Amino acid sequence: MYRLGIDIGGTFTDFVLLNEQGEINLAKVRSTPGSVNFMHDGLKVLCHNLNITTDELLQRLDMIIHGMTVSTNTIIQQRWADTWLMTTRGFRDFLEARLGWKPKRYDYFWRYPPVIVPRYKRLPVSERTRANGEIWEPINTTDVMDNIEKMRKAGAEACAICFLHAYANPTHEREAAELIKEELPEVEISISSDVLPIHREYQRGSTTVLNASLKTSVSKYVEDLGKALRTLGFTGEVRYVQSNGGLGSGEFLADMPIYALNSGPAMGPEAGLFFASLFNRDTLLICDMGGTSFDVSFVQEGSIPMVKDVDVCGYRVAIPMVDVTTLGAGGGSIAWIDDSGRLRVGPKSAEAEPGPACYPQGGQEPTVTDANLCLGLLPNGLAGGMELDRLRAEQIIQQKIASPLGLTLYEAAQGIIDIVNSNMVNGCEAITIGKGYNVRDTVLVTGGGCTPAHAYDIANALGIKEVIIPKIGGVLCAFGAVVANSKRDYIRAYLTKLGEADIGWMNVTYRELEEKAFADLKKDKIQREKIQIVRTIELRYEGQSHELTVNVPPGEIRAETLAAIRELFHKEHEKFFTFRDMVSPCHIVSLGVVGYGQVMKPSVTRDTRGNGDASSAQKGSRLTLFRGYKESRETPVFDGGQLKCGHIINGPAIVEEETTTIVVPPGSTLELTEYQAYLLHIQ
Amino acid sequence: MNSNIKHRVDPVTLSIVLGYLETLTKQMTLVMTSTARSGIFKFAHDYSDVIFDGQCRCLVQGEDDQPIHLGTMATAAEIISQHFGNDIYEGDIIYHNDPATGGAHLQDMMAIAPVFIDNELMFWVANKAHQIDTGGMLAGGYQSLAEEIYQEGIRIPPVKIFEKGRERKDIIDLVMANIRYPLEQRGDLAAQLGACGVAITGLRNLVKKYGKQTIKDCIEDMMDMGERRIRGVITNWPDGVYHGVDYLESIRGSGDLELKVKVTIEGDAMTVEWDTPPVLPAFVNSYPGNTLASVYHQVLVSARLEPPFNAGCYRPIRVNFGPPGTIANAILPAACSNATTTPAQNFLNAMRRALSQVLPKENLNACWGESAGFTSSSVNPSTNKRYTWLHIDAAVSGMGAVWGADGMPWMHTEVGAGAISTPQVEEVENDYPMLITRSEFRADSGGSGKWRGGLGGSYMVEYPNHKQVTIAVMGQGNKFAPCGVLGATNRLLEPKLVRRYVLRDGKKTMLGTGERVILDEGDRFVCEVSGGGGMGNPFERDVDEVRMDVQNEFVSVEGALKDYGVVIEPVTLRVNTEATAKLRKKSSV
Repeated sequence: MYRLGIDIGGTFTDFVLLNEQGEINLAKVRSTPGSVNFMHDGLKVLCHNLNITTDELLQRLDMIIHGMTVSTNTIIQQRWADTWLMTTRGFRDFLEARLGWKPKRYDYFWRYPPVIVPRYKRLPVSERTRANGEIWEPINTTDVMDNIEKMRKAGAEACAICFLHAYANPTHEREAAELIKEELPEVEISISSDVLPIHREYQRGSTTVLNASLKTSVSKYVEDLGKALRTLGFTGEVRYVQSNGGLGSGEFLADMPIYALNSGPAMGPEAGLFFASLFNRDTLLICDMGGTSFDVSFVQEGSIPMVKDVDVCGYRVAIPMVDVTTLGAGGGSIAWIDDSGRLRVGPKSAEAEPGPACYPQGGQEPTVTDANLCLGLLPNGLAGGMELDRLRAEQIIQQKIASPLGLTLYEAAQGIIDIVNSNMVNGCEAITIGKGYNVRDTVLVTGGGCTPAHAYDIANALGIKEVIIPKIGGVLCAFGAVVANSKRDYIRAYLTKLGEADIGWMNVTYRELEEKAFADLKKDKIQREKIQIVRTIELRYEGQSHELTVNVPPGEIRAETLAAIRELFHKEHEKFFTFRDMVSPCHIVSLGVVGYGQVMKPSVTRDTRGNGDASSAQKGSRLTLFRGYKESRETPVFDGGQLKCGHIINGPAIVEEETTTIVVPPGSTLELTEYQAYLLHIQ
Repeated sequence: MNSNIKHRVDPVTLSIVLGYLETLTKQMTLVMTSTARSGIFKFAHDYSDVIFDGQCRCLVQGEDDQPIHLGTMATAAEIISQHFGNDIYEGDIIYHNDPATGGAHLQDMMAIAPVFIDNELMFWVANKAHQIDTGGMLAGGYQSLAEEIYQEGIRIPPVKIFEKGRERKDIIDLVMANIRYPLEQRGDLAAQLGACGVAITGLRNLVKKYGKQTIKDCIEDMMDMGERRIRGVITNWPDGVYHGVDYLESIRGSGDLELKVKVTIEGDAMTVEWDTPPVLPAFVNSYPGNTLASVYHQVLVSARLEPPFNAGCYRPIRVNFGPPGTIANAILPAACSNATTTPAQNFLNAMRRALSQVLPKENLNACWGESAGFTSSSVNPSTNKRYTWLHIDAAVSGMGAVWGADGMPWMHTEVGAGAISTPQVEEVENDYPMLITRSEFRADSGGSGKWRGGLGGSYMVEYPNHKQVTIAVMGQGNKFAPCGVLGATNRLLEPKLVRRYVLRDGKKTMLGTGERVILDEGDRFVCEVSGGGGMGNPFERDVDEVRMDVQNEFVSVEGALKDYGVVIEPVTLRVNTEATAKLRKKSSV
């Protein structure tokens, strides 16, 4: 049986087909914005590869896993449903107040994107719950009914409810939701105590509003895709990639579309971990350098890094999301000289149109790709038979960078590469060393077409000696999707001192959340024995406003468990922030449960190892300038398609793959391993 | 054009070193954000990180830090380094808050550490953070009753709290013994030291990688680059002498006072000269570091430059603070605990009025509202412990309009320029035993103009089961609305002024600037803040924009009529086009 992963990008949609034996088949087709036609195109290519009919493929296909972009695109294009918000009277502006914070201190011209619910659609209700859950003022149902009338008249499509302290007591929110449901059954409702029961009304409210505003478009998409697949004759299951790095069913995401937001890069770390574990490594840096941006995550001891409380497209989201840092560093990043005379690279990119200067009808600005071409690191032709114009790349770099700065052409080209590499290294350091983690001697895994040309420099600067370069790096996220597990997150606010925590209540709460996880994953057709539960707890020292998450030891919670949790927290705090505080009490902020449902672990095909002599795969040579060379030297060029498992190439060399170019500088060795992945060793 | 620029270091290394330094300040900020302890500090991001070179020249500053800190940190760092001379060693950390030696007000406490490399002083790293208490007459640091600095709390001149790596516990204890909430403040100090530690490690790695000389050359190049950028802007501003003024509202019978500034632009440099009245026996005096910070702030905003900013950017700006003992050049024993907002914001406004005469339209920006708040202190009825809360959650004003866009609503003081986050109702109520009953935009508070000022906040709070609560207000704006630019005028004035009052049995008792009051059980306290100033003639504002503002209750029907000359039917909210045209025409004649 097969599993199919599909990842939609701006230009291309990637297909990865995997069977239980671990055999992989790939397809890359043009994206079809606004329709599901890409399915036909992709299946056609796969069937052609396998030499079977579409019907045969569909019969053997038991699951399609799909990274949808509809939820992110809906936000970017501001095509959300007509969304309203009911709040506690006197507090209807937190959504637009945005905590009173803005970036860029001396820039008074910067603006946020428009608020999703304008003020006249934010409707107050007299009611009040206090921080401890006590109801201070009962809900005024006349207010709710008046608001419903307003919504009815205006033809509202969605409604979020966020009352103060509803995480501590959801009674009023539920009451209001019931009334809306009765009166306006067609309106999509999201209530904050269901979507994300945490304290902090801005984070909870903003997440809930986004969720409500996305329901219509996401449920429509799920329905359309399901229909299209059924029409094709597909009878298996469909799963979607979530921003938390796991999979969810269409039914779940139609109700909780917020979990589909920004799920694009979420699968990179999972895929990186998959490859690293083939080499018995569980701590890795996964880097994905594409045309416009560089995505990086640090996976430690097998755990995918998570983040919450971030702005996505300018809107605050507080559900847990895979922590992927994105920088404006890609092959298309533009090199420029700023008003102080400083050479900079990015964040602006030449994008797909017009593209780097060396592209046919390319742009007028020098890019990273132009610099690489100039140095002889890239072939003169790219995938799709596109010719790259090296002469033009040289002219532009000379004119825009080298001459103004008084550098030679090659100094300028090398400088562009050094700066973009340094930007990426800084990004990598910020998420590792900057957080107190050791990155030396870990492993770097590459994804994205541009990374293998820069991997050596990035790894070397970070003290990393091994780089894993999967052949399928260009479709890494789609691959991540087919090896991922189902995942659900649950959270319950609990603001109390750790020393005064009610152990009985905690046990009951954890059990409740766990049962919820079992029930929800069962709906996604995961058997109980395939479900793994992880309990978490968020803690901080008294007075802090930022909490850290630690895992709770399994089993019944007792007084000793609390002591163990305290110690885990001290340790984590010291690791993150260089000190532990033995005087201040620890406070609990929330309890959490993560449910993982194992879907299918593919076995891995291992190629047989041949001898190390790669000379048969050499297809020629070209002049290349590596750092430290005074002038260009002839460097052997290998055809990646001809390399066999066990082949070893000593740098300096270039290996050309169909979708990427691997640069093997002097002082490094590249080996094709039995897992269809290269291993770059740095001495 | 660029071919004339000669660098000491090759441009690639320079760019990489600079990028690394910027990353380091980001890491310092991360440590602070995540570990800070006390309220204002943790919610409000009221802290800043700077890396100086060995001569105390600012190399990089945190991108999201407080402008008002950045100016004073430079002044203080220089004084501190002179103070110790050669008596400074690896492992030393100095603590400081004294306005007389470069500080702004006692609440801002700075930890600064030298970074030695092979026995040579190469850098200083510093973190400045607003602390919740300084001792003194009132909890919270804002000493509205003080007449001189000795009543405002503990002054910390340059003093080592770590000496050659060893903690001087006695000194730290001395500081903490003079502060009401030592536990919180010890935590905050640890966060500050953590931030400095991250930077020290990073700087060592940097020098190890590139060598001392290269780094020194990079520093000189960076200074030149900063200088060149700002000169490149100033040179486009017409030469001349420009006057600006702003008004300090009467405090304790002082009468309203003029704070005057003269800005002289000559080629690519400028001179800023202050002319302010003698210091007052109140907390609104500005020591030179604080005044300097305001000048730098307004120049950088007006120049519309992208970061990074370093000491080179300050080179073409000469500042004369006026005679010692005047408000802009305070000397001991002048009180100053409110100085970072009042008169700092007045200084920004005076500078703005002067520069408005020279700036191109695209660089113009209107005044931000007065971020006027208050502190409440009492005993928590359930724990019997004393507490003080500085209501930054109430002190939200609005940003001034800029050329081409309305100001953003709900911003704190301009001196923080968007760095200060509002603590949320659910956070405050989990930490403090009060009940907030309103926290929303205040209608009509945005200054009217073709582009409207951002709205300020309207806030109401009560203190269930409390016996007594002491409220002390700070900030101004009771009399003067935030000024507009390019013909922006306010006709509906009342909602553009700061109003703070006690509500008792439906009756309002207003509080004036710097006053305090004691609440009884059942009293409620209201704080209504002004928004930002507008830009351009409000009668030229797009009619549909005004209609939408009314629909959103940013502007009332009355406000639409008076401020914007737009006639709107109160029930249907339809625009009466004819009446509007007539009204607008009449006013333009």
